[in-house]
Amino acid sequence: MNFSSSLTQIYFYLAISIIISFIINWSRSDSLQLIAQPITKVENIDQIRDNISDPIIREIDIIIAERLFQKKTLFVDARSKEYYLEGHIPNSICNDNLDSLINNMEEYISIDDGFVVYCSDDDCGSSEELAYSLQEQGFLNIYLFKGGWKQWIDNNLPFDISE
Amino acid sequence: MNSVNKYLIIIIRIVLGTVFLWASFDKIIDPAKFARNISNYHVIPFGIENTIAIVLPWLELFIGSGLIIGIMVDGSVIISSLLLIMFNLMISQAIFRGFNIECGCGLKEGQLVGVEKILENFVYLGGAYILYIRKRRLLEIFPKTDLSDK
Repeated sequence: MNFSSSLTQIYFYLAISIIISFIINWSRSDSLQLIAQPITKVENIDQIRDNISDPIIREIDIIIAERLFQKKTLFVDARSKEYYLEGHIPNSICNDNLDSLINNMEEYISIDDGFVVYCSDDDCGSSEELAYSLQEQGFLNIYLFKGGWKQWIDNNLPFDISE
Repeated sequence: MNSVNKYLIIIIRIVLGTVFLWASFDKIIDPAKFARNISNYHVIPFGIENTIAIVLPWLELFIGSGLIIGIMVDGSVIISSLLLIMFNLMISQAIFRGFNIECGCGLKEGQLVGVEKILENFVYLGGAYILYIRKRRLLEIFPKTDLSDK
């Protein structure tokens, strides 16, 4: 092989990266699947259940979110406090700081109770990030409302402005 | 570019190499988080972000090491330039589409996409360009070429 050629060097770097990364990933206890699987969607309210034993994050739509709100399920707002103060789902908790959020949540729910995490809209990503962080902290039953604040408001559902 | 001080070339190599090396660490430790960061850009077909999150940090690690140690510097420079251009395109479209998402760049925890990140990448790209057009090859241990500085 002529390693003076830039192209050969590029191929070498790509090949060694692919080989090593796949071997390391395969040997990890928390290895990633090569192709990501979509988050399971809750299709109807009957699929909602508490007291589960294995950690799971499931996506919910606006209809399920509204039903859970009516059942007084805890909502967690993954947006920054600045946006939370401008308006949020009533009785939701703000994610100002992960430690204080967890303390707050533990006042309302136990580790296997279901709760909803939301952020601005389908594009924000912070709700999913927070859901995984809370799962790492031991919370088992997490519902991800991807439509978020925008979809909630678009559907003329109740909201609070005060803290 | 003959006039570019040979020591400046080495400094740029070390700085650019360190940037890529540093950026790779968090991503290697937590590829799942990096995959979610990639997914938030909404440009990668669903599912492929995992494969990218597994391979890309190691590519960054190897090219960063290559730049610092002086192994296959040409290849490292070309790949790092292409990555920087790709990162800037990803960040630009995210800004254009109004996404307020984490950059996932690996340099600063929680850093959001923004114009300053694009400018930062352009600075690195400038450094990569200087390396690409360099004539002097001081402290490049592999491959040894006729151009190696004595």
